[in-house]
Amino acid sequence: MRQTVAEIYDAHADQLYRYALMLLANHAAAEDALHQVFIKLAQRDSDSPKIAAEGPYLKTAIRNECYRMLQQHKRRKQHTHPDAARALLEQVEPANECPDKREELENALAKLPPEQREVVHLKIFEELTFREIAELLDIEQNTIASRYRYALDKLRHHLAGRL
Amino acid sequence: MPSDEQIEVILGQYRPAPPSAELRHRILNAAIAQSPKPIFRWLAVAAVLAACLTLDLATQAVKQQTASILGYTKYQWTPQAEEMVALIGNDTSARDFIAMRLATSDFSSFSLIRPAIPQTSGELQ
Repeated sequence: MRQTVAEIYDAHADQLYRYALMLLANHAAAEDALHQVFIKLAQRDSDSPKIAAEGPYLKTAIRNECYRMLQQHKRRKQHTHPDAARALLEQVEPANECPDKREELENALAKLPPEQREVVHLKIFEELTFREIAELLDIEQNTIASRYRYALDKLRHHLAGRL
Repeated sequence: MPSDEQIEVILGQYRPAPPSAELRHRILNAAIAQSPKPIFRWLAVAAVLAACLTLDLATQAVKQQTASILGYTKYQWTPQAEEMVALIGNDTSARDFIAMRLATSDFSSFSLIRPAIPQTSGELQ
């Protein structure tokens, strides 16, 4: 059991965490979401981890957990704020690191609604097509495309003259 | 104002930050602590089995008591009753079951297992 959960963690946790981080825009909240998913996974039958090892299952699980947390914050009228201490983004090629540019981008992303940030994440960072995103989220492809369009518009306005 | 393509290029230069290395240890330890222990599963199975055996013994005792209270007469243990015992397993529980039916059935239902022609009755073991 220990081996299996650890293997699942090593194979998927990185991607799941990045997804949660983009949805919640907060490291502590993303850690909580990932924690919850793995606790639920461990509490299930011993055969379940084999099924759960499938990426889409875990992705749906972390997504549900993130939206549950977002709903909870909404009910309590709390807002998740981007961490001041830890960056939400990292540069793919660290040699070209430019902290100001990164911070501008982080602020712009943090201002998007989670649904739009999610589509940006899946499209840009996970390189999925609109059709794949639509299947994964079980949402109309046109809705996904609209969310992406709105997200880019907002990012463009926010970043105008700053980058 | 940057174009969509420029925004996509800028975004493509980044990716969300990874989890901390310490998180793995924390999550796995918590997950292991929460996972159901195999011993508890076997204990649950053993408890159910024990409950079943106890219930079976209790019902055996009730059946025997009922039979002894109501009683049944030797003539009811006909060859047909013996055949029915053979049909349903020919063991002690089958014999008990038929004996119970004989003991608890009313007179009219005796005719269902009583032969039309009087004959020798079998011995209940």
